[in-house]
Amino acid sequence: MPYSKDILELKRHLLRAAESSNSYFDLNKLIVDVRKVNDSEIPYSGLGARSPNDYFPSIKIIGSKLRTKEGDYTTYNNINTIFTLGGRYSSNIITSDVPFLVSGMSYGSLKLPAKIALHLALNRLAKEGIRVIMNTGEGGALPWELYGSEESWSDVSKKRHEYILSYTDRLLKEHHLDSIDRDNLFCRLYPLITQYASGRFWKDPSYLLNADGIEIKIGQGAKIGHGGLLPGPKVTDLVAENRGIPSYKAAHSPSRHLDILGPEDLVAKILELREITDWRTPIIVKVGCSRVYDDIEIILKSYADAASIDGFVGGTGAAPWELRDIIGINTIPSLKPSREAIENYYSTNERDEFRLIVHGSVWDSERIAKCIALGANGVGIGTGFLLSMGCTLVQDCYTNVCPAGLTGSYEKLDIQTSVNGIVNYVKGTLLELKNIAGSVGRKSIHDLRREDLVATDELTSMICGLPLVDGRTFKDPVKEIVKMVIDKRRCLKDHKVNKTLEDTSN
Amino acid sequence: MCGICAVMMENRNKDFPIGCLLYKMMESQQIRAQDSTGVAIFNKETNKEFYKLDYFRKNNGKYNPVTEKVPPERLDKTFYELTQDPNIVITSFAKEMNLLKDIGLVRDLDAKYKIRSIQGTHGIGHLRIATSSRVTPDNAHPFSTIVMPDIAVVHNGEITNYSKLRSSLELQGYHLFTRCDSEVIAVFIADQLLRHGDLEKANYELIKKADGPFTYIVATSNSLALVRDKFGARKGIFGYNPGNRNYPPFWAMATDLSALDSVGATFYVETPQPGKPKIFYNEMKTRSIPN
Amino acid sequence: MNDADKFIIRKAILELAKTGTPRFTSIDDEVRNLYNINSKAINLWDFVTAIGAQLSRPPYDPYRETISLDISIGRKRSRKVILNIPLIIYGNIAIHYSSLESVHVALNRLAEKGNVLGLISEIEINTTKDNKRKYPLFKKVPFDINDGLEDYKKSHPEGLMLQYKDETSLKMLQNFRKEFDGPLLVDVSEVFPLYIKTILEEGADGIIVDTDKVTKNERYKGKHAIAVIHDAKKAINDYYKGREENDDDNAILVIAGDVNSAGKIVKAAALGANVVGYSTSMLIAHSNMYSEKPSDVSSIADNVYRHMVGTKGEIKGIPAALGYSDFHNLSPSDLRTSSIDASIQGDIPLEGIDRTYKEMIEQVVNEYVSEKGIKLNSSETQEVVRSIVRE
Repeated sequence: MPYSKDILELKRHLLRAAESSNSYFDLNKLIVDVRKVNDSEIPYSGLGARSPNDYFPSIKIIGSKLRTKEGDYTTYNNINTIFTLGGRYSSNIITSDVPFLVSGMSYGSLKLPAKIALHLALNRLAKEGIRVIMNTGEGGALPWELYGSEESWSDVSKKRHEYILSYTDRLLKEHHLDSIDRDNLFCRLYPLITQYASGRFWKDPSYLLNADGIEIKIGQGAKIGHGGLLPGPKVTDLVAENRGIPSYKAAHSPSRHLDILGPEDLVAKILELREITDWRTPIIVKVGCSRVYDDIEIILKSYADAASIDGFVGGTGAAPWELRDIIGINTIPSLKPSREAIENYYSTNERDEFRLIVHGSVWDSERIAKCIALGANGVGIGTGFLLSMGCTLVQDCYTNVCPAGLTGSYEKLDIQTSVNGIVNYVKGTLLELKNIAGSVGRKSIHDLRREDLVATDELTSMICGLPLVDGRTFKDPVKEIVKMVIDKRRCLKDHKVNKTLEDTSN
Repeated sequence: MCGICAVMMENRNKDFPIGCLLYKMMESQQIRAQDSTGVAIFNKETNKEFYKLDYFRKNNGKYNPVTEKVPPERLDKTFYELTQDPNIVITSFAKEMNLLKDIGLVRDLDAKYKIRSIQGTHGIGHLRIATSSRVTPDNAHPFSTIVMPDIAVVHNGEITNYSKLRSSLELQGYHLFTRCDSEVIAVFIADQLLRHGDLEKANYELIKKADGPFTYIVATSNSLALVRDKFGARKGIFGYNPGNRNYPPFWAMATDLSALDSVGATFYVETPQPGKPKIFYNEMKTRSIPN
Repeated sequence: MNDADKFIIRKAILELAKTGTPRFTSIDDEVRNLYNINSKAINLWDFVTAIGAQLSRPPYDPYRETISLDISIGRKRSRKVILNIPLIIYGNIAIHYSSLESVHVALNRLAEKGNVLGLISEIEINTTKDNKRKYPLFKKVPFDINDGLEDYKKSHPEGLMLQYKDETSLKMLQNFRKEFDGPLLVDVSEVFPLYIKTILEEGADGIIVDTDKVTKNERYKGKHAIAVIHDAKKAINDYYKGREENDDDNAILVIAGDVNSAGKIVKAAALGANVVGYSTSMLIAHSNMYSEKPSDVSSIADNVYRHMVGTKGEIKGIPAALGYSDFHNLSPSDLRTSSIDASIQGDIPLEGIDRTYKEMIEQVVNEYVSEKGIKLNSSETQEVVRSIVRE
């Protein structure tokens, strides 16, 4: 963020005061304090929380290889990586060729060029036979996402048609992208999931009707218990028009759906959406990781097709800094309770097409494989896609300034390079996934099991229920000590017996 | 999280099978929740000498209901023995209350205990969809307490600071059997009643202390109280049925209007103000007319 | 994932985005290697998080419902002092008079807007008629004062803060309690965790514990503030055990020291602190001393004021997101940790399994024992647990 001169000065003085008094030395706290001094507002930050232990590095996949032979990447070409969503209650089923999807990043939080790059890249991948699911995020969908096929125009009135085209023109013009071919743009070849969040930022019924899937967002990992947030500077006129809100005013979504207070309300809401979409569209419920077991148990009972959980390291455009860092639990520990909830549910119910999607600090193939082995069916990746477009991780996503041109300063982003980056990222990750599954000896990525993993430390072994690297578990040392105590007791007893014998003999 | 309902006969009429009214109301609210069901019905005449103690004995994941009649002089000893055993969950401690609960639908409960034929002066019913604690018979509502007899609570919503309330009650030496937030309401109200005996004051205390969105009905041997949280986030309504030649007049409370409708309690339909308990006594007719 | 990890990840993904061909090593391997090389300095606070409200418990919204932060200080015998923000400004940095003065002005401004905070200070501000104190002052009494209580009453502080050093301090506490009818807070950092029960029996209204001081003591060497707060709360609970709960009789726990950001305030409150001794306001006022062109008292007071308004917003928002409409409803059951050490020191459940490390070990012992048909008595079980937990 371009700090004003005052802020920098305050920062310097505070730093010196802190040093001289030895009271604290924490750069993050310093920035938070100085920003509060500057404008008395709650400081925001972008991206995910800092978590000192996210468990991923402490898990190993036994015998996995990312790369097989130099130059030849087709060794494990037959590994199945298809991921399907829906079919539990919905009549439609979304099929994706990769077990990961683009998690919700809204227009507004991301600038238009980045959204277009994602759109074009997924189209190109789909043409090459790799379909990846995209989630719109909370801020409504863009015209070409909703009206990306011939039939989607069929019910649209003429007036509405004209409006959509004029809005598209204005969008592209503002971002100096007028040269983009409209026919190419208004074509969507990948499945789209629209997000039904507490802000209800959409004005067009086709937002629900034209989507391939609907995600009810109860919460998000980065700001669990806090509604979506788009700071004022990012709500430009066109973003505001898309969302139906006043421009240049911060968009605060309610912290909860005002009509979903408990499980029975969720059931009612899902049934309502089912009726709207004629029981066609798969419905996902997304929660931030906190009381995962209870939440998943409720989702299982509520006519949803899938549950989506989001660890607190999951990214965001803007979240209150302190809130982001302290609320929620990590992604890996929430996998075990969610799996338990699912298994318990199916111990009394017939098994069906329920899916578990995991978000939060999943960026590369190995992490995807670890999540799947621990019980996820698919994963959501957000920051990974941003990184492949050149994200610099400076965490200023809440301002309108971004060194990579993703969440601000959009002139900096080169769409073509970004499209290439995304395509390569997806293809590379897919190859790596196939290699991992193949080198472990599985035919499908979904066949990865808990048995393929080992933990490198005690805590991870305890939390994931995995054996340690040397084949032992955290339970073994405990058992040894119990044995020692028993032996000691026996010794004492023998000693006593001997003593009594001695006494009697005397 | 759930659906709750209650009935209070006017003029201390005790011969009407109010289990039947509760059944109707619960059935009309069944859509809200399907995990477990329970009722508590009060009848003054049932029992004079003994305390009735209902508990579940856990055995390999199975819950066997046991009923024991305890004379007053053996009460302390029995409680001591039962609270020492971790596999015992006491569900009801009563003089005139009949508390029945199990997992399943209201039909299942009726098939098991014939609740439709139970007579009484007043009663409460509950349908549960679990939010935080597991679906087991001991976590079904209504909740009672061993602190004092004839207290039953049904609850819809969430006491978010329940662990804080619970630990403060445990510090005072009370024994709680489940991890369910609704049990805390029962023990808290009983604790307050032991101190000053004023149900209204006890409810005000709880509204002050408890956090989160909730509606609950607490039943004592002579009263019912319908309470909503201070923000009124959860619903709860009551209505009056003036009665006719075949049945006496009564008050009914429920979560949904449809439940009041199903028993014809559609007069004076109102909701209590958020944070203000609405109390019905079965002694005097005049006090139960809404003011 | 800390900052160093993030950049490893970025490098790896950019490489993948450039080539599209599989890499040799995964990011997790690289991160693991990184930690083998340099073991990082660990602050246990970072390993503790709170679990938010989602489906099974709806969150409140600070823009819709009122979130209360009020706390009343003072037990039966004392006059009550009510704070609207559960913070007492408490500086253990060398206080310059002008810094204190700007804090004073800021606290007055806050109090005018209905945000009353406390101040613990040894020095008094010279108040004029139009600059009267509008916030409660807890005047600090040094160790060795046995008489001269009159001096302390002269300036009419709302409360007093005594420092407890040894048995002789008890006499002082008794004297002060007899003479003074406002809240008495007792700083036990020097003797922690002893004497707390005695102090509460003598009628003190609150206990102050400075975690920085305590963790330097021999008894708490190598332990973290989490352990100190946990033990302090336990000592207070021990005092109340078996007593009838009474709103009029709540001794408060004030935690100072390593609690200086909104996140830590919330974590400390969940562990048992009722009020936090907050030094950052003092630090912000103090930072003016390092300015080339020092500002006047009023504008420094503005800085302190704005900082406090922001902090208030933060500490209102977090309980709301946890599902509470009252800050003081936070409890240890809201916390989870991703560190064994934090779990042992603060009795905090591990994330994902919702049980503390100790409970997990106990469970393993019990399972193993019943599987093998051995009988351990409780002291032996404790011995096993202790040797694993290494308390």
